[in-house]
Amino acid sequence: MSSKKKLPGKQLVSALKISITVILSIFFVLLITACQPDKDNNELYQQQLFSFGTLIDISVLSNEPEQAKQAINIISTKFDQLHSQWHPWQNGALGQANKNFSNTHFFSSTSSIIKLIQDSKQLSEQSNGLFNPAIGQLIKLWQFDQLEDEQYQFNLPDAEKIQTLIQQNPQMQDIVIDKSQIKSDNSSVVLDFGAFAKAAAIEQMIHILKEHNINNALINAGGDLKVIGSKNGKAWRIGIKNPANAQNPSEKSIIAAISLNNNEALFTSGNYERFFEFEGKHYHHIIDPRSGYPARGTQSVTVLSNDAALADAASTALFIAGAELWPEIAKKMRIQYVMLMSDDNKIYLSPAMAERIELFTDIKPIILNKHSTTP
Amino acid sequence: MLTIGKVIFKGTDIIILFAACALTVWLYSTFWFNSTQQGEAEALLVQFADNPPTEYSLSEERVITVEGKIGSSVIEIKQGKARFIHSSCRNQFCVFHGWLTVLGDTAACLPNRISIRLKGAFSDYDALAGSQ
Repeated sequence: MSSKKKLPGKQLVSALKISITVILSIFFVLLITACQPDKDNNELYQQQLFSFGTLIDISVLSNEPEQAKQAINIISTKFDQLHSQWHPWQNGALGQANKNFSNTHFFSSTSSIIKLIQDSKQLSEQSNGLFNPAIGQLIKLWQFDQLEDEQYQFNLPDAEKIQTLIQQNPQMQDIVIDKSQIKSDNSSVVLDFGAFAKAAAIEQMIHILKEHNINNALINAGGDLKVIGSKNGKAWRIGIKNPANAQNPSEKSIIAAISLNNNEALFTSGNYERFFEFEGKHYHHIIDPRSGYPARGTQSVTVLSNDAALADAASTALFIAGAELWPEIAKKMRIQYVMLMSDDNKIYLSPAMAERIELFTDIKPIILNKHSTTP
Repeated sequence: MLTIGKVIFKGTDIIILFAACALTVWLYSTFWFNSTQQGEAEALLVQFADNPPTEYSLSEERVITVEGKIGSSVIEIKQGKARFIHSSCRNQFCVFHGWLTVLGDTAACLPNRISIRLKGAFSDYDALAGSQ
């Protein structure tokens, strides 16, 4: 009887040993299987700066701190330089060009301005003119160039002035390039590259990072971003903000997520990003060059591409195109990955985007048929 | 009753063992696998221009006044969220941005060069698209 009484104690100790062994075994097996092969294990270096009218976050992965810090400093300075060179109304290269366009004669410009014009002429044509950086005067009329001005206060533009500019019809195709000389055949052309300039700047910064042997990085300029490499072996994971959350905080903050691979850019145009409420009406910053007023019908468009500038131009053009026209414009611009959210809370996806994006909503997306130009 | 070698597991032992295994799997799936859930923000980073950010705990409710390029910006921390409640700029976009609730979310007063960002140990996202 006494040995039987001792047995439960021994049994309990043995049982505990086995239990702990089993639990620890499970834990470690799961832990090991959860880990990705971590070949690089680089440190993350981050820098924030205000440039191009937005907040820019630079994230660089490197195992050489000095190299990372040096590269970040160089591109921080470069962002500011390009911002002043490409500002439509300051005294940089673009500001000077804008002053000269009004006299319709040839004048010299810098290679970077000519490259921006060449690229945007092509993209404007592909987008049927919906991406149109030549409407700088319209943007100024809507005062979206003054967002950083501390004294800025919004006033509704004069309808007649808008109409006059629409009739003058400034287009990228009005600009003629002859080697290092440019002119505009239309005196109303004023170039405001807006986010396209920001995207072109991001492309240059990525190039500089690679020159400094930085092969894993993310540059996020106000929610528009491009990545290179990976985050220590894992794809960069990006959350896409829900435009409905801006109007109604009870809506989910993040509507989707997507993993980005080496050299991919993700650009979003949304009506919630920069806007004014005036006498109960919502006026956002994406101006339809056909009407001169903020484009209606779309809440946001997200475009993925290897080319940041193309992604930006396309997100603007597809936002203006809206739910009916976007497939045709996306096809012309050779954009594969598109998500469009319309004002009536419908989500449209291109087939390629549908395969990659992870949606966190009960809304059933409308997926475009392959080879179709209608949703 | 369960027998492993010389050890006999009775009812309560089996329940404890099962519960411990279930707990391990649950902890694993919650903290390693469940990537669709958003990580929890723990702190607010407040930054002026390119100066190093100042960190504030989100667990303590408070109102912070920060001096920027053109004046002061006032930031509120409440119930684990943060927002601008005033800034010296005219357009007040930073105030219209509302509460920051998602880890990694950012709001900024561009004229005043002040930004706020939610920080946490386990972020599900490396960046947020369309965030401003």
